[in-house]
Amino acid sequence: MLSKIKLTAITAVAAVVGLAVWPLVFGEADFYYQIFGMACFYGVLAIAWNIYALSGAISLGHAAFFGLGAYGSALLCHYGQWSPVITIPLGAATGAAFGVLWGVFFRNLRGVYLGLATLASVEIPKVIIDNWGSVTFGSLGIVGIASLPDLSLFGLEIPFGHSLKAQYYLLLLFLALAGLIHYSSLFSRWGWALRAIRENETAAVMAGVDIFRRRFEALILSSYLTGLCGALYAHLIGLIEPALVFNLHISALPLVLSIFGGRFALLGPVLGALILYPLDQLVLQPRLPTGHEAVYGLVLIMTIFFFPKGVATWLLKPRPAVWK
Amino acid sequence: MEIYAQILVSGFSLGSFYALIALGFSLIFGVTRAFNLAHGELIILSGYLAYAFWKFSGLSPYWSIPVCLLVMPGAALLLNLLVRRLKAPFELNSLVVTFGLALFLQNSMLFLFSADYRLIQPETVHFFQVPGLPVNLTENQLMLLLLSLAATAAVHGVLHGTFLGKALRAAIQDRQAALLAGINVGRIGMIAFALGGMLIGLAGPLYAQTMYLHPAAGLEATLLAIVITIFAGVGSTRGILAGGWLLGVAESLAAFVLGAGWRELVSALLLISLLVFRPQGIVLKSGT
Amino acid sequence: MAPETPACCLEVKRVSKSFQGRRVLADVSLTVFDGEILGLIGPNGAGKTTLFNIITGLVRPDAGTILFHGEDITGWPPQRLCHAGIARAFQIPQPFPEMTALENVLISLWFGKGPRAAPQDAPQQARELLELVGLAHKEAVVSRDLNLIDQRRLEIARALATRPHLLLLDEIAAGLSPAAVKAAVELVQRLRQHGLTLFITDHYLNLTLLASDRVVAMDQGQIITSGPAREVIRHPEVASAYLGTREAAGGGEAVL
Repeated sequence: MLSKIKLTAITAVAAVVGLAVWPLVFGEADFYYQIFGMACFYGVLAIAWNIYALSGAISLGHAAFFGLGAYGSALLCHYGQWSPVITIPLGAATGAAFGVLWGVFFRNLRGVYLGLATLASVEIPKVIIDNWGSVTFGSLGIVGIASLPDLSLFGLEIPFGHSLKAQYYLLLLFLALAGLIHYSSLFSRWGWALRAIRENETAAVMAGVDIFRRRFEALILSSYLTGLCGALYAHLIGLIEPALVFNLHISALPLVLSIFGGRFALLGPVLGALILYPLDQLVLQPRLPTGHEAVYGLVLIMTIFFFPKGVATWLLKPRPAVWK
Repeated sequence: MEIYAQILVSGFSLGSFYALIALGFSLIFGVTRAFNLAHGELIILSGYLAYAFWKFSGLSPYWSIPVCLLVMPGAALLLNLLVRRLKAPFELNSLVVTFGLALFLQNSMLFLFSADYRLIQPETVHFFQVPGLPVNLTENQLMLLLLSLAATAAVHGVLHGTFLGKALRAAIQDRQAALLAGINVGRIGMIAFALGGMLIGLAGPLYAQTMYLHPAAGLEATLLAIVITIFAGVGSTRGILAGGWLLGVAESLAAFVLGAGWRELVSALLLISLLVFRPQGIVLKSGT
Repeated sequence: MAPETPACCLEVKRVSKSFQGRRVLADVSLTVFDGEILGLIGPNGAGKTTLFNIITGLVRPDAGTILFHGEDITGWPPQRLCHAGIARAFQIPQPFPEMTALENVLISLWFGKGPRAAPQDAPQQARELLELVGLAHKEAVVSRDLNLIDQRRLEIARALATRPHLLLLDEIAAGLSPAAVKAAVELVQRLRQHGLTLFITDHYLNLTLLASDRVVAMDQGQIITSGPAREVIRHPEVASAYLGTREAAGGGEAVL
């Protein structure tokens, strides 16, 4: 078991190094910076979703945290005239606050019923923001959101605001940090508690695991990370509207990526993001400008039927010497 | 006062349609325990089918109903083939798979019909006076009310008046016992999907004449169906009708009092409240 | 707290519980003394499992109190009771299905009452516990692949790994062969020698009669009698509860 963890860790480090150095080898191209940058971004989103899923909860409503994080940061930026460096972590807390509400109201819901409640709950912030035009600019959304500030570090100018290359490396760093959080959510004592809850709640509580507390912690971490993604998104893209950030796709994407990659594997969610998103953008999007995201639905259906534990687990599974 | 009577009547008309939307979901879920999150998308698909038929044939929109009644059961049976192959935990897996199907259908409809809002609009609108009330109904509202009620009554009749209905109700109440009683649960599930598909087929053209079609509109219909099913408990046509009316009236009131934008919140809040405060609502009452 | 002889380990005082209007426990009181093996017998539906569920915090009683070493523990959540030193092995084993036997025990060691094992010692302690229940050779088997008897063994090892004072064993002898029951009796007595107090339920009486110091008999949510095993089974109401010849008091109730 230990060697498997080591193998995964080596793969993870290799992947990060590979993602960091490819521009040196293949030459630079803004197009690829953008696509792989967004792949890293969705990798973080998938990890965030998966942290809650590790406690056994399948959420269909993470768009609520994403949208609230985006609106929280954008509105703070607009009304407070603060730098995105401050509003992003603060705005993400709006997502976590909604996570607290989930934790309180949905504490006794499990499985399908939790999934339905989370799905429906996205409508609440969406409709409120849609209709509270005087504060939130309503369904038209917010345009011209401040971009990320340029950073001066040791005399080095890093133009996060307008260089896709700088943004790519920022997102890669974000993914590496999220990967570390995912690592400890799987292999720490806390992670084992989540696993125990996921596998058998009664047994977990009888073994002394505080199931409500641990699940709540996972939810808050998950919702805050998702809120961070939303906040970052607002400043990277520059415009948001309720129909965009509270979209079903935002809830669905991390679920599809995690389940496809493998929910219980360290690299599963990231693998899902790094395979599916570039595939979608490089292969399908040019051919099917509208509707290409149908592929995520198809992939989800196929995954459930053919490798329900995800490709990462499927690849690592010990196989009989002779193939059937 | 008059305005409230108008709201009440249009709420009932809309609510009857909601009951029709919920009926297919409830039947499929009750008999097979499959949570079909793509229910709304299938209704929208049926709506687009009706729209396309109406646009290209030039016939009255009601001629699209038999077409949808024939096509949609086929789609539902395909879904049945898919769902039957799922492993445990069945309910959760069916939820996730149909979630994937909903995504797929949404994007396919986006590709086929674009993101424009579409509506089957009759050239002239006829009004009917409701006898004894200072209320007007459009022809469309009247048809909505009549067809929805007729479909609900037909399902009620099948469930309670036929041998097939007996088998369906047995499967709804206790799959295990139905199996022991010699009922072919697999075939009954197929029939439930086919009947559900017909109800979806009927709901589509009515939807296309009542509300704007939009590729992402399915989610709201799915939520409506789930709210009403949980409210009613599975297998109760009367409960579904009551739930549909309540929801229809509540939405009409909310739209009038708070503004049309808040209407969408009603079903979401009701669903959450039902799940949180009445989780046993969906569990079968034993002995009924 | 003043030491008493014999000290009370667990006191159940006038506990009642109804489910949907049906009385499952009516005014049940009993005491488990430190260091004893107490058996709880009664036919199906007597309320034994409900009583265990209440003691372990899975079900809240409608009325009554429960004291553990003199402290009122009524309404505590299960994990707090686990940390206080109450553990339970379920009649239907409740393992973590995807974990190996060893990992199952490790979970209890890590999150149970403690003293928290140092991370490097925990696997050693887990192996000792698996040895004690006779499952050492299957430590690497994923627990969903274990057979029923081995899952029961694992159930006990997991309960022991929380380092309890009081261990509740729910029907651990159900469905076992006579030889396996004999092994279970030996195991129970060995556990007592390790300083545990045991409270066991048993539908078929065999384990209780062989292992218990004292027996409490229940029927229809009430305590009928208690005392040494031999006396309790000779008690006429106990015999009739089991053989089903009880007179339907005032109700004309049909009994199979």
